[in-house]
Parts: sequence; structure tokens; C-alpha cells
Amino acid sequence: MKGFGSKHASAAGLPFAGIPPEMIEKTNALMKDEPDFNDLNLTFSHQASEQQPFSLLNFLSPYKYRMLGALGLVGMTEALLLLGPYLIKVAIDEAIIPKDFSVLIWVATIWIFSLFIAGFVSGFRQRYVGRLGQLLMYELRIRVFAHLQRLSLDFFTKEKAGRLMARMTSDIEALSNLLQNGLVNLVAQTLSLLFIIGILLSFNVKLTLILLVIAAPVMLAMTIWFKTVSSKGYANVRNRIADVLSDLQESLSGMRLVISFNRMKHNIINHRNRVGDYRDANNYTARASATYSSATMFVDSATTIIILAVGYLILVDVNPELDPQGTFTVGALVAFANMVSRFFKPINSLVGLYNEFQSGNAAVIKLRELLGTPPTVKEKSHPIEIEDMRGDIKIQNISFSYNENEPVIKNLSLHIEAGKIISFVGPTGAGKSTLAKLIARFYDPNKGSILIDDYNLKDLSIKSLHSQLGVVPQEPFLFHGSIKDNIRFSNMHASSDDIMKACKAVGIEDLIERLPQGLDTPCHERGSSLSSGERQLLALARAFLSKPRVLILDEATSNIDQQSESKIERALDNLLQGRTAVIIAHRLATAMRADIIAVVKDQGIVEMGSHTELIGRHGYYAEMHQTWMQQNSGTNLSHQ
Amino acid sequence: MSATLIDAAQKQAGAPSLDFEPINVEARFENPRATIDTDRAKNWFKRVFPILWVNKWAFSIGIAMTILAMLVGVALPAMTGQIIDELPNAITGNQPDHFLFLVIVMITLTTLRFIFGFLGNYQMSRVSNQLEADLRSVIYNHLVTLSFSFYDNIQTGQVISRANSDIKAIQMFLMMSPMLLTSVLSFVFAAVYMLSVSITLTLAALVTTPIVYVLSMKLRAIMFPLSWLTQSHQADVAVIVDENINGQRIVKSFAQEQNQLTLLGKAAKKLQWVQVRAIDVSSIFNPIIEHLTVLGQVLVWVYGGWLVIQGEVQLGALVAFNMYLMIIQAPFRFLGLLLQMEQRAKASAGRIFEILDEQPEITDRANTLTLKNPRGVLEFDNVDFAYKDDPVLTGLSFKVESGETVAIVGRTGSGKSTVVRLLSRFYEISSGSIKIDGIDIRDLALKNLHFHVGQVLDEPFLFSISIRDNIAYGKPDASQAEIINAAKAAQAHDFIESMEKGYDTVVGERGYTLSGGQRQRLGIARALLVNPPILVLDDATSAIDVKVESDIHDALVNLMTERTTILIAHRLSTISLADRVVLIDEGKAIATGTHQHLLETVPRYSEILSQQNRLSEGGSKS
Repeated sequence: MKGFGSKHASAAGLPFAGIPPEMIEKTNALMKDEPDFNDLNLTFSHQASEQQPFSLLNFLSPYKYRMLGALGLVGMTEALLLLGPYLIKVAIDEAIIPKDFSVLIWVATIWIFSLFIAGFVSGFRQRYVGRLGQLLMYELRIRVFAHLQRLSLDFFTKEKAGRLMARMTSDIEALSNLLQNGLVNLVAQTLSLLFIIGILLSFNVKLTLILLVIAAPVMLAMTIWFKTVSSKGYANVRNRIADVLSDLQESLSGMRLVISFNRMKHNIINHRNRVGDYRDANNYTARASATYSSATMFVDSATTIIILAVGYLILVDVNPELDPQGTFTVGALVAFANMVSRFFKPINSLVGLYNEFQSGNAAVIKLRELLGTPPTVKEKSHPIEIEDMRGDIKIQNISFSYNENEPVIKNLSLHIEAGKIISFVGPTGAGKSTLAKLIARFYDPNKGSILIDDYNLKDLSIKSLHSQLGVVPQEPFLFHGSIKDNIRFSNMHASSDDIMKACKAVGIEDLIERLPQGLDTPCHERGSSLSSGERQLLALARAFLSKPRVLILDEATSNIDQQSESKIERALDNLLQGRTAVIIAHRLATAMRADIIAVVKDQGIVEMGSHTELIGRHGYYAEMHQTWMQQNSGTNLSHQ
Repeated sequence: MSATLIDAAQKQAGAPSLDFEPINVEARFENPRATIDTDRAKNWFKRVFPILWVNKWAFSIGIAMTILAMLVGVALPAMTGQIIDELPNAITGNQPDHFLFLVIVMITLTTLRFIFGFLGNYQMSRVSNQLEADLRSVIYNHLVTLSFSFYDNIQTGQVISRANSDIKAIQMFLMMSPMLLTSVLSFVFAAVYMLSVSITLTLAALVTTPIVYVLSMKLRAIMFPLSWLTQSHQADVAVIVDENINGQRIVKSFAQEQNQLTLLGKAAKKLQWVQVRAIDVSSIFNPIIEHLTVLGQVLVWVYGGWLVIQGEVQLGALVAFNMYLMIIQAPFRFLGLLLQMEQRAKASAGRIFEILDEQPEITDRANTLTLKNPRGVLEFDNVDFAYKDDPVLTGLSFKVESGETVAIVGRTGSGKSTVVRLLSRFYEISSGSIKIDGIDIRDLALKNLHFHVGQVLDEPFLFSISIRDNIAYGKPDASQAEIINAAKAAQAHDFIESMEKGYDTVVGERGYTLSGGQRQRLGIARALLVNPPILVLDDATSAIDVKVESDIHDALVNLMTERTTILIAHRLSTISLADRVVLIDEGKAIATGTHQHLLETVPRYSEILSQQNRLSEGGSKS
């Protein structure tokens, strides 16, 4: 989670670690005014795909007038800012040297007046541009997130979670920087540079040329050097601190092992090495920025001195061809010298902007790619809304493969009648799970079709299908929030009574009573961490609450400790009642409870029937059962 | 094999030093030379001071250079003023020699300021980075001394946060505060020059400064909580995104796309709200602060211009005066910043001290004994133990002979795991004793004890390093052959070899790229590599196939015939591997004997077993 926090923190790549306790009171006071946006209700559609490829231009085009307005304000502020140095020249030449106090008063009046206008305009500009930028960011977040929701499951298995995360965080932030600072600054600094050169030329052409030909290239070269070196250096610092923190994180989580394997000394040395590398990386950037900051200061004042010296010579008229018209004045020289550091500022900023533009541009390209990825499972343009699904599933001659060369399922047909429970058994990798995913339309078969209540899955609206079909996968994923939030996930409007009923159905009511905070216990904190069995039961409660017509349990009861096992069996009894269900289980005890057992092997179904039928057939299933019985009887436990 | 006991006196007499600590990494950096002051009564700065003090020379050089840079730089504006005063003379053609001299001096001073400035800036940063590194190491070095009970009660995230933003806060304050010295010095020089030009002009110039100071303080006070809230809202958005990426299948399964989009919309709106609020505040304050500073300049030019017209002040002095005005305003801003930083650093230091003041609960006694090649006779004698105030064991006694395999059986929560944790002295017993080969484990050096007792826990923690390094965790210098042998014994070799990168496969975060059974086998291989004479398997095979499990036990016997093994298990298949069963109930060992014997004679035993194994015959129900 990079890219949070202040400029400084993000340069060093530190993650956000929570609001410090001494700040909590103040942030809480702030949050009192914060609207909760409860009436916000965004509509989501599987249909609305991106019309045009994403680009900065068509992203901004609805706001083009506002953007132009913003740029106009920027130009005004810059012009007003440069009035000052010009007024200094006037004050020296027209008032101070000729000793005319009334001109001085005039100059002061104009100056103060311009300050008021400049203050007002720049305040307005900051507010206007800032608000516009925030609005754009909000829209972009919604747009990217909605598209993520639209994309199919294969996309999420292919892409690394961290990279997708970056699209929504650091890329959007890079874009936001580009819009709010980059574009504004580009215009502001370019204008300011042009204005400054204009004024300087009006003061003296030769001096301006000295500045442009000698000093500016030196400054430019130095700045480019620094930006290159420092961005490389900061990337290194970020990597090194990530090393330090991940080592710390792992040491803390695995400290029991560290202690029992006597690894303390080894780990101390190892951690010190990482911390040392981090220090060296910091020293590298420190040397670069110490060089740059002292060198810019040097160039700045050396240039001022040279300008003064040459200006002096012009005034002394030692070298008359430098100023043939003879309009150069003391005031102009002072104002000129005053402007030297102002002249360098836009040069430095513009170089900095180059980086900002580069990362902004990279972000645009990556977002374009993401937003341009179509979902592989598409919804028809006028889909059928299926109501009160019965749960009759017909699989007709389907074939499917993840990659073209390796077919997972070939010409498979199957009919699951409404209200029946079927379990898939078979060797790992035979395609049991794939078959379940196809029924849930997480993927579309390459050939053949799947019908539910005689509707082709492809003709149904995805929402109506998924709201009546529940899938419980192997890894019970818990969301940030309380146990209640997690159970309620499948049905936001469920009452506390419904939730308790779901808990009872899966047998976790005693667990919840045992927890001091009950249903409100947060799921993620270490102290209250739930065992994998308890998590599994929570996931089942979640499925129970959604009251699906068709329930798919994809290895949902594996990886469970012995104690929870009996509870899960009881939970299943409650859960499966009156539903069409597909169970994939590697424990035969679970699989055996189905009405029909299908052995999935060699890209198809090789055996199917009830438990007794299959035992009688002496095939693959009977063999599996045999091994399983032996394992359990190997302990010669006589059981009453 | 016979046990050898080496006592402290013998060790000093020149016997080979036995450290029992595996080290296979070369130290490339020296450890911090100081740590914090342990006296809790002292204020935070004094407690951190020793870490600063060891760097005193590097620190002094940095300060000296910075002051030198300031000293050579502070004269420049005055000289610029002198050149400008030369200008009218120049027009009349006087004193060109003096002018040349000035220019040369100024160029020399700027060059010197460049050199000193660079050295000072770089040196101070180096010291600061050193300080940060030392603080990080000090905390880490302390963390590894703490006991299990500490780790039972902490949240990892919080410790990491302390190691992050809190260290930064302290580091920044420690480095910035000496800068106040140079800042004050340049203030004095600038003030002297300005006052020498004109007292009234100085007052006029500084008229807006207090207002600017107050406004900046106020702005910062408003912005600070706003920026924290922004960060926290950004994190909220990130959490929702993260969960929707990793839990996408659940979102789709329950058709929750719209609800999740709305959820994100709310979080994004809140983020927008707080950012807009920050923009609104700063768009009012910033222009005022900026332009008030310029207003000070305008006053100087008008009033100063009048003074020049009156002939009281030279034009050059007026120009120089304006430059010093910039210098003199800096300390005001700096002071405000520093005061706020001190507040933060103090709070941060408090949080770091909380960790550093934590004392390890379990430490070596004064004269520890060192055991070599123990036979592995274990004896629990009347052991009492309580977690906090919750008694777990009351008068537990049992004995395990050398080379025996004993299963500990008891209902959930009966304290089975506690028993084996006490054996490694991860927690301290309240009364009674635990002995290995007749020696109280509290008389042994902890490292020595841990070296001989290998523990495999049920949820094996794997580090996100290669499989090879995970197995070699307890013996980092193990050869490839040793690692493969351990993996073979744990029946892990085949699945490791079937992976594309074999032993070099890097295990994902917390090892979740592997199945539960695979993780457990790696955990066993890790313990077997050390080949401890006493091995504890705490439900360590729960996710492993029955057949594979019995292969592992065969391999265990082959590796060392005289190994003492303690098993904690729920499965009958695992219990059947033991020579003997110890039944624990209500804090005591209530019975011991073979599985068959207990089954026949102790009704409580089959009661507990059946409760745990209701499922093992669940199949015959249908």
C-alpha cells in the first residue's frame, strides 16, 4: 500500500499506520461535521462498458470550460506576482533617485492594491482548481472500481492483486497530482518564465542573454541530474524500507519460532544489515540533495554577483556596446538582480513537472488498459430477470479449457433436478471445481450450454442469477468489519434476528456468546482471531442468510480442524434443506450425504449414482471408499 | 549416548564454547553503540540522549559546517548593498578598484558557502540517518528478548507503526532542534545589520511578521488533523478496494456489486469531503500569509525609500535590508514548527518506550548449566500454571522415559498445548518443577534448552523465503543433503521436487500458497533438520493424510532411535503411533498407559475420544 501520506512519507514509502492517539480527539471533532452520505446510492450495471478508450482529453472534455477558467486564473495570478519587481524599478528610478516622494506613494498604492487583487485571485484559484480536481478524482475512482466489479473472475486470477490495487491508489493519485499541480504548474511556470524574460529584456537585453545562455543551461543541467539521481535514489530507499518492514513484520509474526530455534542473534544481524542498507540508501539521496541544494544556492548568488558586476560595467560605460541605447538605469539593475532567483524557480519546477507528467502519463496508459479490458463473461443487452428460481440445472454437452491446449472438461452432460443434492468427487485437478464455476457462470463454457430452469445462463441477468445462487469457496474470505457485517454481507437488509438465526443454523451461536463483543467483534484483529473452522462456519452462515435456491459448496468444508468438523456437518444439514446443491468435498463423509454422487475424472463424469449404487459398481468410487475406510479403521477404535 | 553436563565453571576453564545459536549471516554493519536510558523517571529527551551522544563528533562537525556556511553567507547581502551604493559613483567613474575587490570577495564567499553548506547538510543527514538506523536496531534487538506472553498480547500492526512514524518523528525533532542554533545566530546577525540601518525601518518591516506567525501556526493547527484524516480516509478506500479484489468471488457469488460500489462511493465521498475542506482552509490562509509577507516588503520600500530621499539611508543598504528581512523571518517560522515537532516527538517517544521498557518475563538464572547430548528423560513434578489469573494446570505430574513416544490426550482447553510450551520454558510455571535428565529446566540456559527441545506447532508459520531457507531456519548453515534428508523424513521431498523451482520456491506470504498439509510437513522438516533429542508435535499432523503421517513417524524412528517424542493429537491414527498415552483432565494427569489399556480401564478416556472423533464413523450413517 504505497502512496499514502504526506509527500515526505510517500517519498520514503512508509505505509499509513493509523492516526496517532494524540490526534484522535481532533480528528473525531472533524468527523462530527462529516456528512455520512447515507443517501448515496450508486447504480451498477454489468452492461455499461467503456465507450471510448480512456485518455486525458476525453476524461477532461466534460470540464473543458472549467479547465479553461482555471487556466485563466493561473495566468492572472502570475502576472500580478511580477508587478512587484517592476514597481521596485520604478520606485528607484522615478522616486528614490530623483527624490520624488509623491511617485513613491503612487507606487505603494498600486502595489498594495495589486496585492489585494492577487491575494483574492490566487485564493479563488486554489479553491476552484482544488475542488475541481477532487471532483475528477471521485469520478475516476467510481469509474475504475465499477469496471473492476464488471470484470470476470479469470481477470482476477491472472492479475496480481497488488497491481490492481495500484491502479486504484497510486495511479489515481499520480493522475490527481498531474491534474491539480502538474497542469496548473505547467501553465503557471511557463507563463511566469515568459513574463520574467519579457520584463528582463525590457530592462536590458545583454544581461538577459547572459542569464539565458550561461546561467540557465547550468541550472537546467543540475536540476535534470538531480531529478534523475534522486528518483533512482528514492526508489531504492522505498525498496530498502520495505525490506526492513517486511523483516520486522515476519519476525513479529514468527517470533515463537525465532525463540524456539535460537535464531535471535542471526535475526539481529540480519535485521541490522537491512537497516544498514536502508541507511546507506538514505545517505545516497542525502548526498544528492545536499549537493543540489547548495549548488543551486551557489549558482543563484554567483549569477546575481555576475549580473551586478556586468551591470556595473555597463553603467560605468566601460563597455558601451553592451547598452547602445543607454536606457539602462540603477533601478533596472537592482530589479534585475532581484529577479535572478525568480528566474530560476520556473526552470526548476518545469524539470520537476517532467517527472510528474511521466508518471501521470504512465498512469493514464495503465488505466486505459484496465478500463479497456472487456469482461469475458458478458451480460446480454436485454437479459431475462429470473424470479423464484426453482433450481433445475441442465448441463448440455459442454467443453471448457482455461488455456487452449489443455481441455479441462470435454463433452460433459448432466441433469440436476430441482431440490436434489449432488456431490462431485474425483482426483485433484479433474475439473470438479471448474464445473461448479461454470454452473455459477464465473466462466462461460467454450462449447455447449448450461440451462437453469430451462433458461440459458447466458440469457439471464447476472444479478438475478447470482442473487439466487450462492457459492461458498474453499478459503472463507472475511471482510474488514465485525462478524455481523460479514454474515450480513450477502443480505444487507437482514435484521439482527435473521443474523442470529443464521448463526444458530450453522452452530456458532455459542462462539458468538463467548466473545465479549458478540456479533460486533471485529474479524481481523489479532486478539479475537477466529480459527479456520470458525471462519468456515461464518462463511456458511453468510450463505444461509442469502437463502439461495442453488447452493454450491466448493471444498467449503475442507481444511477444518477436528473439533469444528461435527459442527459443520450439522450446519450442512440445515443449509441444504430444500435446495438444489452442488457439493465438492475431499472428505468422503461429506460427499456421501448427497442424493447423487458424480465421479469427475478424465475431463468428464465417469460414474454417477447413489452411494450404494456406486459401491456396488466396484469402480473408482468403490476404491476410494475402500481406502478411506481402511484409514479410519486402522486405529481399531471400538465405538459405542 | 550419555548426557554431559557442563557447568559454568568448567566452561570458563577453557572447554569449547557452546552457544547453540545458529548464525549464518555476515554482519555488514556494526550494532548500535548505545541504547536508551533505562531510567523511566527521566524525561523523554534525556532517555533518548545516549543514542545522540555516541554520534557527538559526527554531529558536531555537521553543526560546525552549518554554522560556517551561515557565517560566510550572512555577509553577502551587505556586500550586495555596497555594490549598489557604488553604482552612482560608477556613473561618475570613481573607485573601480574597490568594486573589483568586492566582487572577488563575494565570489569567494559564495564558493565557501557552497562547500561548507554541502558538507554541513550532508553530514547532518548522515547523522540523522544513523540515528534512525540505531533506533530501529535498538527496538528490534529488544523485541527478540521478549517472551511469549508479550507476543500473546500485542498487535503486530501497532508495533510496526511505532517502528515507523514514531521513529521518524523522534529523528526529525532530534535533527531539527540543533538547527535552531544556526537559525538564531543568523537572526542575530541580520537583526544587528537591520537595526544599524534604521531602528524605525526595522520595526516597520517586522510589523506584519507577528500576524504571519500567528496565522501560520493557526493554519498548521487546522491542517494537521485534516491531513491525518485524509490519510485515514485514503486507507479506508484502499481497504475496500483490496477486499473487493481479493474477495471478488464472494462479491460476485452474492451479487453484491452494487452495494460494494456504493460502499466505495461513500468512502470516496468522505475522502473528497475532507480534501475539499483542507483546500477551502488553505485557499483562505495561504494567500493572506503569502501576501502579508510581501506587504512587509512594500512597507520597507516606501518608508525606506522616504528615508533614502531624506538622505538618512543609502540605496544599497535598503536593498540589503530587504534581503535580511527574509533571513530574519525564518527563525519565527522555524520556532513554531519546532514546538509542534517536540509535541509529536514526545508522544512518539512515549510509545516507543512502552516497548523498550517491557521486561523479558523469562530470563537465564545467574549460574546456568549447559546440557550436552541429553538422554531425554522428562519429568513434570506437581506443576501449577495459570495464564494471568486463569489456572490451567494444578499439580500436574508425569514422567517420560528416554526414547519413549507419548501422546497427551485431553479435551479442548484442558491445557495440552500448555504442557509442551512449559517444557520449552516459553512460560514460567508458578510452582513445582520440570526436569530434563533430572535437571530443572530453569537451571539451564534458555538457548541450551531450546536447542534440545524441538517444537512443531499445529499452524506452522512459514516465512516468505525459499522452501530451502524455511527448512533450514533452525540451522542456516545446513548442507543441501541435510535439507533433503529432513524433507524426505517429513515426506515433503516429493511435493517440493514437483514444484517448478523445487527447493528454491519462495513461499508466499505466511505460506498460503501451500496447502495445510504441505505447510505442516515443512514445519516438521524444519524441526527434524535440527534433529533434537526431544521432539514435540503439537497437533502438527492434523491436515496430513493418515498414511503419510505414519510414514513420517517411521522416518522419525530411523533418524534417531533414542528420541523422546511428545505428541498432541485428536486423531486416533496419530494417538495409535504413541507407546503410551497421558490423559489430562482438569489440570492434572489423571491416567497413563497404552491406548488399549486406557480404553478398557478408564471410561473418561473413551468419553473424551468419542467427543473428538464423532466423525470418524460418520460415513456409516447413510
